[in-house]
Amino acid sequence: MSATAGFTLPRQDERYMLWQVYLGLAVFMWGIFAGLAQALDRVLPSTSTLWKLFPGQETYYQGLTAHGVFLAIGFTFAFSNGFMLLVASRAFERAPNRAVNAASFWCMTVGAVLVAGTIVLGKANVLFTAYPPLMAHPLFYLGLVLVVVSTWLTGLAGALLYRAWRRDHPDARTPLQAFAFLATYAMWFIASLGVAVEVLGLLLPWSLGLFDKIDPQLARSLFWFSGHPIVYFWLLPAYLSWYTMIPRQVGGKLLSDPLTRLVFLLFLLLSTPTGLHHQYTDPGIDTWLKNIHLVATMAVFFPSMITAFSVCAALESGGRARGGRGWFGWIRKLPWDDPSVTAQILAMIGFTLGGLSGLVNASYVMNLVVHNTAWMPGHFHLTVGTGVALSFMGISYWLIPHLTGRGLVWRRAAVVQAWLWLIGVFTFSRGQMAGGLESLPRRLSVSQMSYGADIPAWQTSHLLTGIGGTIMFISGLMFGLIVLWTVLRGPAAGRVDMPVADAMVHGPDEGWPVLERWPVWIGLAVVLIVLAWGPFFLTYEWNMVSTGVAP
Amino acid sequence: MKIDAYEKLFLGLTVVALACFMGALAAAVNRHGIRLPHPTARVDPAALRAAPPPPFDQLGLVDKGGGAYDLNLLAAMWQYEPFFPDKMEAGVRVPAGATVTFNVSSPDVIHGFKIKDTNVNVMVIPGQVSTVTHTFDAPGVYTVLCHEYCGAGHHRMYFKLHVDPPAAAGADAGRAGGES
Ligand code: HEM
Ligand SMILES: [Cu+2]
Ligand SMILES: [Cu+2]
Repeated sequence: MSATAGFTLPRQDERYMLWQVYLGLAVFMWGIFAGLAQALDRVLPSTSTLWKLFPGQETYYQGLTAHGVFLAIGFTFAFSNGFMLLVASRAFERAPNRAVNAASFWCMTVGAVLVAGTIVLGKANVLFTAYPPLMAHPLFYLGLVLVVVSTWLTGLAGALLYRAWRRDHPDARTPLQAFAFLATYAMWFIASLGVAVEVLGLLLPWSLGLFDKIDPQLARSLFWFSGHPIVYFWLLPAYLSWYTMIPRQVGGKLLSDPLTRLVFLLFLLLSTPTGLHHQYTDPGIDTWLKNIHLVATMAVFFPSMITAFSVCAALESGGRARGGRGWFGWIRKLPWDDPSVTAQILAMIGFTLGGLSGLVNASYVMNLVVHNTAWMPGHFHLTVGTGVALSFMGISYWLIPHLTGRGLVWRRAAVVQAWLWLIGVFTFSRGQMAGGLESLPRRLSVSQMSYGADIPAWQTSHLLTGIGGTIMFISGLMFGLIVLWTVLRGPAAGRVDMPVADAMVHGPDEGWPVLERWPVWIGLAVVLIVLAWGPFFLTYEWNMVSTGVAP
Repeated sequence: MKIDAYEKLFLGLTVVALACFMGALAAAVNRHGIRLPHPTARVDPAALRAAPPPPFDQLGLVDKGGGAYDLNLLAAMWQYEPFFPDKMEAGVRVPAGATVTFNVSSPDVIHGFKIKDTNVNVMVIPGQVSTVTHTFDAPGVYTVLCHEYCGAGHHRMYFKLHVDPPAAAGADAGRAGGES
């Protein structure tokens, strides 16, 4: 049971959260097995049967579908649902509506089973982007719908908590962590409407045969309406931890409560008007529309830079409070023996490089060099694959003991695990990015490739990707074993509390009251979306010409 | 809301950096003429094979005279027709300095179209015609490849574009390659 002064979260409510986190970690493990197969496919000689050693991977692309779907959608969403609702409940000091919490868990579970089942049976070799006219089994699309609905339900549970809390506290500031939850899930709810329309309005009925032709260009734009903000839905739970937990874990102070709120609100505003930057090279979209999204994309860099400053400031204050001196002396004094802290600081370092490489992608003309090349996996294994995933591993190092009451085992190994991941992903991304700059395409089985043997730069890329990916896998496997052993055999009196950074330089009362006015921010977000996407959806002429093709 | 001096400075620098990036982009677009792909035409994917409309009624290289060429291609599972698997290596030859306009469309699923060592990078989306132009000044062998997952044979989808040095470029440049 989670207890803060006077508040105890009932065990049953916690259990749904814990099991959603377990589900996320289970698909994480499955996903990285597929990742290992992909990495090895780049270094082992023409072993076109290699990935068959891994479950559910008759072909490279079946494994790649599992990898993308499980890691980018399953792991991130399920972990976030469990973790974020726990944080919101604790912050509001209330138990969430049990039926909604349970429904979220069951939607996620059934959705995951449908998606995993259709992938394993080879009925959905369409990769996680599921671009039509590649067609998957209807149950694959249905599973994706349930997974998204599960996030809506968690968002609803948080909104209900807020309503009940607000009734009792008409004039108080929303607790910071709860505020971050609300901004994150509000952002994602609005953003997910694109993919909801795509799947419910186009893909699902089309795969059921209700109509036989579809517009691939339109479907792509609906997908990317949600496809860029989804990265902030992955990221914001990590930001919540960096802003409102890490300062406590390192013994420092959060720089500014109001600025933290503003950052989350900026993501609510700016996440969605950016999606066309994934479609710079699409033939069916006017350049001036792409330009609007270019500007919003550059703008969304801004809150991330505020974050870089604030998070470093909090770390520095912690290091200095622990006796660190001089320009850099405080770094050594940080609690590097705490795996939760180490993993998250290393995640920040990886994320910084990932974010900078994202500026390259966003930069329009440079996008022509890197679009759809191996550069992209190089980029996003630093962002979601490290900034988010390694943060979630770090969070797990206190979250699992917190929810199970079992102390973390093998702390040293856990610290090593975090470092290994960073070393692995640096090697991996160095390889992928170098290949990408030389036009090495992504989403491609290298061992079966019929060209490219004459391009030396690609061979270096494959080697580094293979080595780095293997190191990442070893690290991920260590993480899985540590969590498993903690759950099964961790010392029983190990319950740790949830870290809450309540020491601040600038407290909540310094913030503008308008920060609390949700209708203003949500209204503004909708206006920006209408401005950025309206012209496309209003001027685009439907072109329903493509019949389904089995991959 | 209070923002500390250092932080103000940092955020100011961020804004300056972003302004510089945008300026560099504007320069790249305006001074160097780098353009993104944009809508040119639409086409019925089913017609591409049954009754191909222009320019797809004439696949392969078309000499427009004066160093200008059209290269009309069907990006299909899993080749750029007319460069079927036995013609992928031979591909197509043009003389150095040739300005080639690529017209590419897909009769089946989404494909990609990227030419190594150039800025040519465009998606090929059923129902749309992808048109991009590039001038090949440097002689050499260019790998043209599909960079979007298009099914089980995605890793076999490429061809080579040979740019001949000025001396070697003969009168037959327009006819070489997969055309027949
Ligand atoms: C053991 C760790 C991992 C390894 C070895 C690995 C390896 C790879 C490789 C080699 C690719 C490129 C495949 C290709 O383009 O053909 C890839 C793609 C991808 N990875 Fe990972 N990865 C790992 C962990 C992760 C994590 C933790 C995430 C996210 C949380 C992630 C998300 C993705 C996504 C979204 C793709 C793109 C899939 C697609 O193109 O459809 N990976 N991975
Ligand atoms: Cu293709
Ligand atoms: Cu392809």
